[in-house]
Amino acid sequence: MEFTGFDEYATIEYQTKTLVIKVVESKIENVQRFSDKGYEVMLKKGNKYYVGREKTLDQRKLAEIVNILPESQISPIISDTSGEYSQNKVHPTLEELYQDVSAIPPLLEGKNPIYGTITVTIVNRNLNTSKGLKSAEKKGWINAYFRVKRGEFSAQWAHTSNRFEQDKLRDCVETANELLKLSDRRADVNDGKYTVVLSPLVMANLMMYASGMASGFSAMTGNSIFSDSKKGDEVASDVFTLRDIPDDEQIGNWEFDDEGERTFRKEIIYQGKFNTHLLNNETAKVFNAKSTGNAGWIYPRSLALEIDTGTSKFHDMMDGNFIYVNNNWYTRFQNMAEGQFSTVTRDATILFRNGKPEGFVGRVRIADKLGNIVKNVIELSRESYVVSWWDAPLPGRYPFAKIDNVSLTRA
Amino acid sequence: MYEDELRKISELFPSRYKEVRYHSVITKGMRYLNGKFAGIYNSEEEGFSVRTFNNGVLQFYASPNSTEIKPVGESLTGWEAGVSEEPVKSAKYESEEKVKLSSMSIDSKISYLNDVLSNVMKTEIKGKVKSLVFSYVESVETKEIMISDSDVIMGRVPRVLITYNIVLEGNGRTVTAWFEEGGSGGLEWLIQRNLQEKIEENLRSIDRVMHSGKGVTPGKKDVILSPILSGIMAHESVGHPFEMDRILGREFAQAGSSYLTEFKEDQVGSNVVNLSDNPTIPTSSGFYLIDDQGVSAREKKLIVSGKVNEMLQDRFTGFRTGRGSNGSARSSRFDREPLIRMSNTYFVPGEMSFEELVEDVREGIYFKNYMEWNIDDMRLGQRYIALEAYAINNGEIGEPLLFPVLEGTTTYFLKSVDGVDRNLDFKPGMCGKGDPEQGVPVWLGGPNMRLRNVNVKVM
Repeated sequence: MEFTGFDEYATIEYQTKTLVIKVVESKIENVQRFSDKGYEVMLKKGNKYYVGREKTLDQRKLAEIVNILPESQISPIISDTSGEYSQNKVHPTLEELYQDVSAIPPLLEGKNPIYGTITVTIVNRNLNTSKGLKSAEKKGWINAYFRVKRGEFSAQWAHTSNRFEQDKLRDCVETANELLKLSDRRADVNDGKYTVVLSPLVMANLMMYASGMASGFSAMTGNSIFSDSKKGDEVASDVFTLRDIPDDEQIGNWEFDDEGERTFRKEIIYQGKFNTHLLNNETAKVFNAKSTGNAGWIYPRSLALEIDTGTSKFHDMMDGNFIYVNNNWYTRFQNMAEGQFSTVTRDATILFRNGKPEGFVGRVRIADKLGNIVKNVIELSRESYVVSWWDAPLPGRYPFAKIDNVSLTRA
Repeated sequence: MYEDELRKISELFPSRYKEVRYHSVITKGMRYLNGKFAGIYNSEEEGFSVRTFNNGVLQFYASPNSTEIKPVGESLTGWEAGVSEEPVKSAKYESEEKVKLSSMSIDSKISYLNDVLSNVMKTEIKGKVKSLVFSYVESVETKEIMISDSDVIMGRVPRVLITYNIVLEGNGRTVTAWFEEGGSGGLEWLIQRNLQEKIEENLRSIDRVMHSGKGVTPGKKDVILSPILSGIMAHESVGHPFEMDRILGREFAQAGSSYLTEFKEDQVGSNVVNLSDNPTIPTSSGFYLIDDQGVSAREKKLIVSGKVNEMLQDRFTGFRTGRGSNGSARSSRFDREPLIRMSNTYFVPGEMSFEELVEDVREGIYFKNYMEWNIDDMRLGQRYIALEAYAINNGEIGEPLLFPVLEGTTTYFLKSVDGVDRNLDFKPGMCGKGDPEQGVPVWLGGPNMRLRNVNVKVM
């Protein structure tokens, strides 16, 4: 649809369909199939702009709104990209599972009760901009997570991919069960500093917040540990690289951001040094830089992340005295500027002494600064996993991370 | 209005029990950055859904277009046990807009907020406002519900939510703070609530803490929690673990479990602890009179005199436990299934005055506001870090303190409560639950609440 009377515009016509299968005590509890369609629209005249999620596009109504608005101090800027583009990246196994979920019950077998969710999402996204870009993309993905329980102990694992493979989901359940086997005892820890091994699930949760702080809008408004960071500043351990990966084959992603800028992979932190904020065109202006293809109108954001793997085998990392953290939730920052946060561990949080599991320590709290966490990374595993789950919805590819001097507290 | 569409959907699904719903949420918002206008955003979410129960499995379908909802026809067996059979209350409910949202044009609202926020930015403080991101959001939620071919239930709830995030620098520190105001109703939430004075007072209070705050000595102390803190405790430490779906394991992989699955005794607090969830409070964010399964809403007394009294139930948990539904099922939008949700959750006020709570404290801390809070997935171990806190010495509130930490378990705190005052204040919040995630509007509230001899930590 062409818009007249505006200086710039972008419309995203979207059509989504979603399948959710909920599992409780190894049985299907519910199956949800739902769809949505409509438009996301950004219209701009001078520095007046309107952003909306509309069922239909009514040019006259939208023009009336834009005309009465005052100038805004910040407004979206559409990239010069033009031309036509289309791609369909929906793997047929996703459509098959959407139609028929009978492949799922056989995966829910085992000694320990299984809880979890399997979600298939298929999205049509047609982006049109005032600069002449017409992009039609179709993408699908599956994410699944399973939590298994034995008495008072539990463990969890997750899997994300662009295709449904029964074996991968079975492996996911099996990994959670293996974690549960690590011990059948309780162990105690007190408030203090510990070496920890954080699983890919925990890294997914924490890096979601780190990438939020790397957003140009967060940095601009002071809600970030990266507000004053410049390229080359030392912000993390030199073994640590955090990357925005819109082009990852397994996770897949959009070819163009919401302002029509082509997306590309880039390091947010490269070998411990700050590289770039995540920028759209308008926050790029604030930072005297170029868009990094992460729009979000007004709010830039990552669509997928990666931490570079290390050189250690996971099994070799599990040596010495440390606490293994399988999963966490409820990460809350008391100070976004300083990165002071706490998060509560759940599932297999296990004390290791001399490389041997002593027992489950239960629900403790990591209470530290995000900057300290990434600065104190001493080892990363060779193995990495593509994960996302309920409390870490931004998909990413993560290794295990061994981190020194992490502050833990106990309620 | 949509009865024909609802009946046509219902006819396609021959289940004995089914929930058919039209649901729309129309939202209009505007944003300010450092006192200056920074844009508006609107959102229209509207569509239809049906949820059926067969052979232990719930099947849910939703679409913006009623004619696109069709059964897949698969045969599954599953975990659910049955549906309780409370009568369907077919009626209409509405939250009153004392001042209609539509009575003020968009440009008048923008102009009104320009005046408020440009004045706020002139507040005299020692520190410097690095940023103030302000958001005003008004919404109207409309539902039409048919339960197993019943007459149509109609609900309309307009709401206002005001949020602002402040980043303040000064005295070698940076503080980030978050505030919320609002409820159901109309523009009275914007124009009759001394908004400018409230934001200015919050700025001055944080500034005072940053410049005059003293360090905290850790150890056992008496603590008084303001309604902001008693409210978050009511919601998170009692409301969530009293959701029966969580207790039964339905939410185990997502929002977690409940300490009630392991407790052998009913006494979870001292005998002055009383806690309710009540969706029928007019002007509240969590207002409704009939839930999304057609059950009449009522006050639920979750804790009475420190003892577990009642859980939050829907028709499915009501059947499984044999206690029936108490009208706690709610969904956030057309493509989300109804779940057991809190509405307005609060510690019930007592008879004491605030002065009486304070005068009896020899050495303690008044926690007035917090900047961080979280809890484990059994809803037992929790931690609060004060944004604004004051020393209490010999019965008098004194100097501001720098960020004391309260960390302990739900029962440790609730059994330490020895007094609650007669105030009752609420704050709005968005309560998250379910997969896919559903945020529903709620109120969190309580009186000032005194806890004796609890452990205070430092960061």
